[in-house]
Amino acid sequence: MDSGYPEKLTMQMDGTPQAESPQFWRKPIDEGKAPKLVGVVLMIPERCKGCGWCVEFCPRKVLVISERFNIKGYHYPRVAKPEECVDCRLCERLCPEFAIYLKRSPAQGGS
Amino acid sequence: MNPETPKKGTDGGDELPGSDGHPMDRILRMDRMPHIWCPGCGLGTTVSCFALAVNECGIDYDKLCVVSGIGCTGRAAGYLRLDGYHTTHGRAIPFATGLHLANPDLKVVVISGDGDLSAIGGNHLIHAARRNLNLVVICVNNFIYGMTGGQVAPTTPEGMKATTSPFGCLEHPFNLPYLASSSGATLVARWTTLDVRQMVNTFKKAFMKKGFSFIEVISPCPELYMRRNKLGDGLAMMKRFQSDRLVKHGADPKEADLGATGKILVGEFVNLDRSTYADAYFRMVSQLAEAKSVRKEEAKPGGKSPAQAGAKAPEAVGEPKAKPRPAEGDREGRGPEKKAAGTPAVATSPP
Repeated sequence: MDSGYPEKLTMQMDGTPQAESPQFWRKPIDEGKAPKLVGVVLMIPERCKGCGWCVEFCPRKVLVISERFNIKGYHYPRVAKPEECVDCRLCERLCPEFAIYLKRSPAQGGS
Repeated sequence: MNPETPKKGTDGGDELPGSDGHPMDRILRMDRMPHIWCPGCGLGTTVSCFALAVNECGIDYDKLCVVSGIGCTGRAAGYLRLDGYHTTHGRAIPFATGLHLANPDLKVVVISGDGDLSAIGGNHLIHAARRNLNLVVICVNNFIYGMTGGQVAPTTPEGMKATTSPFGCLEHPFNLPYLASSSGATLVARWTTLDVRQMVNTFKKAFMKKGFSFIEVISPCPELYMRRNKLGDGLAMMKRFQSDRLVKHGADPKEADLGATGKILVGEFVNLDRSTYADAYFRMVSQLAEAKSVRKEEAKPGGKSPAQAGAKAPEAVGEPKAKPRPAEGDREGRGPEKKAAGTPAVATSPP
């Protein structure tokens, strides 16, 4: 059927990690010129239900599961490597509990 | 972590936020939180992406309306600080149809589950797509009836267990993008709850789209679908999405069948432009109003209608079989009859 897309635009991508498919990842053309963004991870631990998605899917592995419990009895995440965060906001969008959010680092104009 | 005000010191990052709080808080009804969705359920992610798309799109909150049916997903309308309606089971689309046609300036979004939209409201879904109503339908597919206790849904993959199919489901599941596109939807997409960025972009595209948009969001149901089938928790399903999903924009929705295992085809499958129901409806209304005003002018005393009638009558008598129903056509204000009424008026103009 006619889907409205030209055939050339179809793209395939599987979710294999970077190490296994290096040919898919290209070097950015502005590498070295564009400033590296730094984010600040903020959390509202009492909202967390411990699903672990933010810890699992963080591309820089900034977060780990904390050993502490929150008020509901779940292990919430904590920031293990704050300097690694590049403000991609994947954890903010993935979190089903609206418990985690990011701010741009104060050095880069964040509040 | 915030280096300025670490509240608990060593842990880092777990301090309470400043006065502004979470950026989604202003579009969510935080007095109703925490929500009822289980840990590992993808509904919160879908609502979060929806809220983000609304914020990024810059739609006026007063021009946006969310309608949902019954079920876990049906709670979404109640958690959003927008005009929302929680309707009866399966009837979210009929309600949204009325809302849209009574106030065509509103952007009406239906957020509901697979059971609500494809089983109980299945007819409404296909007919709304056929009419090409200007609606956005977000169908969160978790493969089962969650809130009512884990019964078989029309999207439950073959062989999977549910409370009403303890030995495995015998039925072939619906392919919802194929159903929507073959019924006539103009924007058909499918994403999993892992594709948050793409989901936000598609939501934004759907808000701007004129026509019926159908977006299927595949979400884990950790308690009733995954636990009963021994598939692990919500995180296990998200890992399956990561390994099994295949992004293919413009793919034929016929290929987008879903099974208990195997590839999950995602992407924007269909993006077409087609005349909407509201366009056709309001065109007809304006045509009828125009015809009515013409008739009123003709009926005025001293108007042209008596002369017209006089000029018309011999013709009608002369050829009754060629134009059998001119008078009725006049009454209904159809196009060709208007032209016929115009001709004698020119003929009888004062010399």
